[in-house]
Amino acid sequence: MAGKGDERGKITKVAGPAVTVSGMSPGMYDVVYVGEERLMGEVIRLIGGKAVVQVYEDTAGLKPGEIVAGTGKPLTVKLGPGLLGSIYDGIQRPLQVMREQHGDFIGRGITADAIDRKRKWEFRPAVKKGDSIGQGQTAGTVQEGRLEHRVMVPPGIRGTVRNISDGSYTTDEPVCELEDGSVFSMSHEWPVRHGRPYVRKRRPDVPMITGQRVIDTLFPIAKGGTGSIPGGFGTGKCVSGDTAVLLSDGRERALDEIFEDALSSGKSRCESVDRFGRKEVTVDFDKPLKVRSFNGYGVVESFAKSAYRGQTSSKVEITFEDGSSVQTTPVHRLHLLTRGGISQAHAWRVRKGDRVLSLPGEVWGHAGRIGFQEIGAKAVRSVRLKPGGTVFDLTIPIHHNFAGGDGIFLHNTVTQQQLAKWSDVDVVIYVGCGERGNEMTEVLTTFPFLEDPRTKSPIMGRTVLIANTSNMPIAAREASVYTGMALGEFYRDMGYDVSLMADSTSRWAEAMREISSRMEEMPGEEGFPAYLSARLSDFYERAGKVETLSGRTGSITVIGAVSPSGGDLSEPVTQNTLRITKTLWALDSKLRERRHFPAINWLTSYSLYTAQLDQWYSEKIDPDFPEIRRWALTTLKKEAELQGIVQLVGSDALPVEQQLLLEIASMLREFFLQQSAFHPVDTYSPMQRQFMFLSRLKHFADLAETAVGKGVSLEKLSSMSCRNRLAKLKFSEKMDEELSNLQETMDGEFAEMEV
Amino acid sequence: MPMEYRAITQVTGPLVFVRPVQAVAYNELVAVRLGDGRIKRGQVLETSEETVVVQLFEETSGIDVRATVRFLGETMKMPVSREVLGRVLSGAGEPIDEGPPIIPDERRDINGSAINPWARENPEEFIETGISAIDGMNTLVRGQKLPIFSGAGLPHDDIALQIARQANVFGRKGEFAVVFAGMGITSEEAEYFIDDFQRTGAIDRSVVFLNLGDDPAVERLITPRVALTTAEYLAFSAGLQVLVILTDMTNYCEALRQVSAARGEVPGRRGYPGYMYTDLASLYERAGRIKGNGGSITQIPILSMPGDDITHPVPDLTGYITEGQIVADRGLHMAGVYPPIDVRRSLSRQMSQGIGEGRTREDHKAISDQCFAAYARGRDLRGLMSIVGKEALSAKDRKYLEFADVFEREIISQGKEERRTIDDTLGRMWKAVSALPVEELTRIDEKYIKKYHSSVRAEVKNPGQH
Repeated sequence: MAGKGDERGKITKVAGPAVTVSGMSPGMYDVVYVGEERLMGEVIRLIGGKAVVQVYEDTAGLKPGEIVAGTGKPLTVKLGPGLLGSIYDGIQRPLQVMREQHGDFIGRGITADAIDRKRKWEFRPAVKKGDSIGQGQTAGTVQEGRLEHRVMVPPGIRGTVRNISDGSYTTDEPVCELEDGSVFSMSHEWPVRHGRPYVRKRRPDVPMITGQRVIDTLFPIAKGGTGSIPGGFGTGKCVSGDTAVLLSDGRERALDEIFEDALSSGKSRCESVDRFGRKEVTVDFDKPLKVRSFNGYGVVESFAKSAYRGQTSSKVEITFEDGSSVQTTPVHRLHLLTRGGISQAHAWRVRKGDRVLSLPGEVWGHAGRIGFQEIGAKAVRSVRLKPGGTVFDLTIPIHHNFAGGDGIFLHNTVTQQQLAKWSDVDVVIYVGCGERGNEMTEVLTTFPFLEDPRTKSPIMGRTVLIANTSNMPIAAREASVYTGMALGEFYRDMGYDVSLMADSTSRWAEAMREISSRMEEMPGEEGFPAYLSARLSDFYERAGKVETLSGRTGSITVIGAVSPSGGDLSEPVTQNTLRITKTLWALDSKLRERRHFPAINWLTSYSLYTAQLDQWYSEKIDPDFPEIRRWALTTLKKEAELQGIVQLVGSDALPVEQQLLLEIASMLREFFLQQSAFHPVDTYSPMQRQFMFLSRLKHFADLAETAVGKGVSLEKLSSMSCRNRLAKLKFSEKMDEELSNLQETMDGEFAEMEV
Repeated sequence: MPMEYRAITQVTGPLVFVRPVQAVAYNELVAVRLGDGRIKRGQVLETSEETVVVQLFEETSGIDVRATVRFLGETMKMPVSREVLGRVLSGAGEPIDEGPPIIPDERRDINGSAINPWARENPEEFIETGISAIDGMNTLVRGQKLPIFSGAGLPHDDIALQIARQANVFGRKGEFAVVFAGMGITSEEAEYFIDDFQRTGAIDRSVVFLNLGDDPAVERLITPRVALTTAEYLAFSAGLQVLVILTDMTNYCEALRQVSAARGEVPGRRGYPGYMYTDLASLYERAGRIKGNGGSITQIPILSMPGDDITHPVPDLTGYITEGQIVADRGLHMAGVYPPIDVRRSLSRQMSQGIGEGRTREDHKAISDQCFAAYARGRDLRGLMSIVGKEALSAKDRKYLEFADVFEREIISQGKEERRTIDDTLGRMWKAVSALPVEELTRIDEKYIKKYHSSVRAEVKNPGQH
């Protein structure tokens, strides 16, 4: 080693994790070892002849004058056979090995080999003497568990093979010698912040099959795609313009007036179109508007950040027993006082007799804090669906609701979060980033016992876990997602499909914020650095399906969990993530309460991959697949619309075709979308079976429609034996057999009935 | 050798700027000797060859440029020993109870090190606190961190004391130790704690760290760290079951904000520094169990929510790190219920792992779910009743209303000295539930109803039991 790698400098200043070094000229993001204890750090800023180093460990005891040793290279990971099944911290230190060598606590300056250097692997060459090879090409293979590990030619090596032979080697021993005398082994290092090279990106056109019907059939993610899982994502949220808003000083103002005022004096406005192409405007208030919000058990003062104006196709008008009324969009959430407690419901689900949480008249003008006891409820007299028009809303961080509309609480978002972990990929990388220690323990103790539903082998054999709990150094937390990504890209380059779960990207972004503030950078929105958005998109951009240097095809699918603090979905991390990722699985706490699992809301979730995946579904599953998916989604959407009317007039008043649609939609939800994770058969549903199942449902719907047209009653339909067989189908051991018989049975039964 | 300098260049708030003669280590301890001979202590916050910034643990009043500064050549360490049990120490870990000096087994860095996630053991052993609202409804387990969210004027001190007195790992008695850290509390509160510890004899298995309201705010940042360092020694080196009570975390965070402001850092939400999440995590995450080690640290941090606002940054960030919370309720307190624990807003994330057959009792989850649902319904009906009147409620609704009253009176309420066994608690829950129509008990498996419901009924018939 020569040059930069040997460089020595000295500490001139220590302030927390930021250490200033002089007397050396490292590159940006180079790794250096700081002080006598050789604490690992990374250069994050260069000023004149000085470098600022972010140290991954506690810096107590460091002195100006202590030696800093350069390595001449950025933060790297060690890549080679033996990664799978490992548990690392954020900078690829193996936690199991560190415990054996250094005890239960992670002390300072300790290191351990990322992969076992003593273990020998059976190497089988894939090239022979005289072949010319270059970076990324497969030189040979070793068996890593169930996976054929392809040993790739390390970066910077090119030439003609002079000597290569099979045998048993450690990861450091040379396995191949070239004509120019250079040698390489089965392992190499790679800088984590740099994407590994590939020939070209390909369009992600194969779905990542998870065996979960709601995901695979309705909201698929492509291999090489990106997805996010925020808790209970906010639904439509607006109210009509004449709605009164209760200000914190006890005065009331109409929402449209507030909006107009803001428009004329507000500091910034943002115009956009919603997903139906209608114009929306958001204006930030000059200074926050003080309003009042319900915080779960009382009314407190809060402030609105911005006002919003948009369009809706229909509105719901709710009239209360005291004569007052409010108009909202059908999906607006209201607080209801129910027997089970305070719950939230979409406006279209509110029925006569429901009690909507309200402030009684006598405390309406009361300026101070109002306790739970003083909050009352107003009974609903009638609910009417009205044509749409212009609607308004306020953005209120933290509480997401404001007192208004004659004393009821108007709501915009709720939050919950959860994680999914099934997929038909070859390698899974799970990055636990800034989470609770005891929670991480749960992951670490359960993962090794989980079984892959397809191969029946332990999931751990194809998994790498990266655990960086909230009390471990933040600099390592910041690096952990990149470490995970570099490991993922390594297996991608061998031609495998990889999925990377980052839980949670919010904690990662907070680490960025903390480091940025230590460096005294100018803060952007909510104190996050101005480059937050760029970092997030850089990270997600490393996902993709690629043609590798060896001519194979590999992919990385990235799924990020978002856990906004204070439950505020308008915060920058959530917003930036939603803008970048192309699939959203909106977990819905209401569904969870109703025991509908997986609790993925079918109205708010989306996948932007369906169009490009349709070809795959048509070719590999069935030409009718895209059509049937559209049918299922349309039916569910129509149900949601009809439900609004049913709440008002009851289902008996609907025409029989619409009643049938409600019946079919409920079959879709209960039979098809609901899936038990604990039932041995139902836990994993192969794609072909999902299609068969759905097409049988559609067949039933078609036959039923004809039958109803001929005057068969709905009661008769719902007592048919083939309907009950559909209901129990998913738990049947002989499901495929039954599925193929079912169509005939259905035809027969319907024919019989219509006679 | 430590040297003395007369080189103070600037004093701002609790910060003293010194021009060093030789290299000074980051976080090194500092003694500043005033003109009149008084000594003030501090810690290096930033060090370079030109300037050293010292953060004093005390007020900077009386410091002038003639004061001399001595760097002690080591970072903050806590002498640890089993002998600390029974002692009262200052917020910086020095004896203040007129007892003999403590001979340490070891001196440990107060910042500790993170537990290797791979070395952690899942917390799943039930701790019997003797308080029904906790044991029955929000069970505490060994190695958990479960804060009490309280408000000004609520009896969180009493709750903490009662837990400290009564806590026992189910079926394993006598190996519990309590580490108590008071941060910014009043001397009256401190006396209340110490008196209670002495009166009940709990002092023998306790160690008390006190940083009073008039003690330097900066010392508050040290107090939980010396306490947790001591706790780690007692737990993982001496093998005890350690319960750590930290009160009041809101004062701690105030001190953090004060120091951050003095350093001129960019403020985050409500002026608290952006690193408060990480700072709090570095304290709370020092709870847990370790594989193959008999000891454990269970934390009960107490914090008062300013304005009873649970979305305030201190409770909000705390809730993101801890495994649930116990919420004290003003309404219940006003109604004379002790302990005023609102089980609806409280949550123990580790509860399901710590209860059930072999831990508490097979029916624990079912009965607590049922009580929770019934009580929530009763409380809502109470709100409704104030609007529509009791007459408008159905007979069944009135049963629920009654249930809520009975639940608060017989289960949540208990004496400050009353220690209930888990069987007693579950028995009371069954008794309350059995006043509801049996078909309403949808959350309880038939076999438990047969086994426990009838036996409770038999007890009711027997007047001697009541």
